[in-house]
Amino acid sequence: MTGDVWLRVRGMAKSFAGVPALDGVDLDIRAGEVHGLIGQNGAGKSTLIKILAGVHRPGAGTIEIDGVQRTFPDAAAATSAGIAVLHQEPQVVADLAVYENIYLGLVPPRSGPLIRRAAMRRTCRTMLERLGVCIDVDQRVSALSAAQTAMVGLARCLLLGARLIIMDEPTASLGAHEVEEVYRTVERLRAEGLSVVYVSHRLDEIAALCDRATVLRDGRWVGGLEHDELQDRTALVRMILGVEPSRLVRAEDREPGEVALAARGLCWRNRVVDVDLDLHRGEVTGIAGFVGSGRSELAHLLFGAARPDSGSLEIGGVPVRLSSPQEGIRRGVALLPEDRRNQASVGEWTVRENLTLAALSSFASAGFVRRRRERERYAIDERRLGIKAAGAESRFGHLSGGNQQKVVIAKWLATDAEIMIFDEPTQGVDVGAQEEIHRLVRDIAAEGRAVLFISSDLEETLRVSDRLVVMREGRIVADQRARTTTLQETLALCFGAADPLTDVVG
Amino acid sequence: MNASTPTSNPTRPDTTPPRSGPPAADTALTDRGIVVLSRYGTLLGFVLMMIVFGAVADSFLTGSNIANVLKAAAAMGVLSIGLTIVLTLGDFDLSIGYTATGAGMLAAGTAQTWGMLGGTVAALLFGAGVGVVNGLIVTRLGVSAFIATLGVGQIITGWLLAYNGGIQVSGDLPPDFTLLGRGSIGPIPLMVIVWFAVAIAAFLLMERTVVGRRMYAVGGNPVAARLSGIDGKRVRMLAFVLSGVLAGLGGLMLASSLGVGNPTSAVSYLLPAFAASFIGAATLREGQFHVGGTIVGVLMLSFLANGLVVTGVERAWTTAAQGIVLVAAVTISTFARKVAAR
Repeated sequence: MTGDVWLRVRGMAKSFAGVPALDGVDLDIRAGEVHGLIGQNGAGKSTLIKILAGVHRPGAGTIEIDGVQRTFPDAAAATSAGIAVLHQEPQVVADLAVYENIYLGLVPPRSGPLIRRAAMRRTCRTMLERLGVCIDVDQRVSALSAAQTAMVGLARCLLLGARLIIMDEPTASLGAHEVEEVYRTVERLRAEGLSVVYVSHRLDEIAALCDRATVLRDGRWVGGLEHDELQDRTALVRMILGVEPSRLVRAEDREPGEVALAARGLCWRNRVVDVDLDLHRGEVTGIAGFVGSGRSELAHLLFGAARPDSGSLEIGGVPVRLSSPQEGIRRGVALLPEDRRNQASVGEWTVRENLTLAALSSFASAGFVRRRRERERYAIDERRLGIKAAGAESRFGHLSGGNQQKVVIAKWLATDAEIMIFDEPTQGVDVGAQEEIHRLVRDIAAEGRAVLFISSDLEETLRVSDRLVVMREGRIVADQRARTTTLQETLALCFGAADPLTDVVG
Repeated sequence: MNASTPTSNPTRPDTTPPRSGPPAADTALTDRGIVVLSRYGTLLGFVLMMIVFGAVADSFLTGSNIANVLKAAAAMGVLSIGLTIVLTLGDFDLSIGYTATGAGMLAAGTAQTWGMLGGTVAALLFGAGVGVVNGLIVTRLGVSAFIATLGVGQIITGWLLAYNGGIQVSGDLPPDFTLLGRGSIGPIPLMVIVWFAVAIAAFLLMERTVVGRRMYAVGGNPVAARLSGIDGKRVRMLAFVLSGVLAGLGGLMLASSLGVGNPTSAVSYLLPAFAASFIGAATLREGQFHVGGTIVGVLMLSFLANGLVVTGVERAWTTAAQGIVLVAAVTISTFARKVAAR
């Protein structure tokens, strides 16, 4: 059914601040094919999409459409070349009607200065019919389901005259029956001869929908697969990970201590679903799962930064209800949030001021902050954690990512927390400092604290953790000793492959 | 089927040079110059201004002129300090001028019956009450501080029209009603002493105490503050109350110096107080509201107006000159921060 190559990408490369995000990636999209784009977080999928959409300028490489070389100086150029993107987050104005959203930012049909709304409606109905969906064009988008909202986005892509529609995780926030609707629409687009680039973490979707797929890893092209080859989940996972199946050799695996925190049946807005979790003293519990699997939301619930809709929490055997971070801190919980700059620090402040913020009272007498005590504490932490900064009074924002993270760790150690939650502690941190942070996390647990370690980097999570919990779509789908599991198994669980043990571990 | 599946994986060494190391020496030097200018430019301008006016007009740098300028600036200075605290948290308080006016009216009205002590308590309680209302609307109802305090200010204005029939409160005032506004210790007016005492207390609160640190944290990064266990609502509430109380005190000071409760006396203080705070934010620190800077801002605006008058410039132009100083100070500071951030 598929035709000639419509889009040809060769040697695409892109670096951000000297860090390569894409390195020599090739991609062929034929007319009328559904092409999967697969890889872990950080593999380069988003960068590639943004280059094709004209958002980023390529560092090197060429884009050919119908055999003619093209450059996209801006998003409008990509659109007029026939490439449209359906973003994961719907780009709609909720209070406007469906037809107004489809025409958003476009020139509507007019007679003189007047907009011809009837013509707009008519055109929008045609687009929605082409997609095979039945939506009232006068309805407000706020009244639509998530799948219907996605359809509005697709109708807009059609109106833009797209020949290729890039769908960025279109099913990430959809329920099972809504996913079916997206499938049917994709089939219709293919039947019309349009091409679709389908980005998804769900391998079963890729296997079912895609004619072919391209796998990226660490910004590089690692494989192009035909529909039949996509059915071999084991090979696919191996290609995504880029390593041969092997059991990780771990230096130590301590006996877990008593339960420090016990969660039962935690639920929060469909993002965290019925989670049971015990955190033991002296143990690092790793959470694996993709962005959006509910990891950070769970961390917020355990800390008190979000209130669970249902479920219960015990800390040190005592039932607690954490309704605010203050209470979490008082109960001895610490959360190192994933976004260091926006959630964990005041960038313009000194290192000293950032260090003591969570435990300010313990550095004060009679309400006055004792700067000398703050400086003494910093001197201790500087040595203990190996912070490299130009002293206690240097500006936090000027430190490297790794040193910033160490200051944030020190900040939470100052609260005497017994339960420490690390959410993506090595993001934006160089390799050397990553190792140091791993060691610190292990040491913090070895001192008798319970540690929860969250990371998108599975390999890191496995290396640091004593025990591994896998989350998918808000649920815990596996809970096992880290040393008895492999990267392959874990990744398969993250992706939701049907039966990981028989399916993947060959 | 076209067998055009890419099979090669050309690896390309990344040719982008790493962005590290200091910039070229000469640009670093100019950049540093601009940063210095942003921090100390206002102070430098203030000193220069004082020297120039002092050279042009003999009467400018005399003790009595300085005391008069400071005294005239004191009530507005107290309001500015309260406003600065609110601004530090990233909020607004547009009600301070009306609060001060209302507090002055209420002080005079209450003093007629209950004496100066009663009037003082009434003014401060009124200010605190307005602060509580502002704070509740902002933190509990989630209305933006801009709208909330504007609305509350309007309400006070309406109430002032009704209070005492909209005319000023005079007569039957106790003799000590004007003590605060007109008395002095040695050559220093009491108004100035109160202003500086408030400034020192506010400085200590903001710079040295746990509460102050928390306020800066909420203003600097509200999300990080919340996740560090700081109750942002409580902190913001406290800032509005402090702003209200200081507006009440400023209104009391003004009424005492006027010797009457005037229904429009302090309404015009709002914009100068903002101007002083923003000049302050461009002083000594890069774009951070702080008490010390605000004091400099108030002094700058006050001596500028006075200097122009004593050198014979028509009074109408003094306001325009204040506007120019405000825009210039903030422009330099904004520009310098961009340089520092790049």
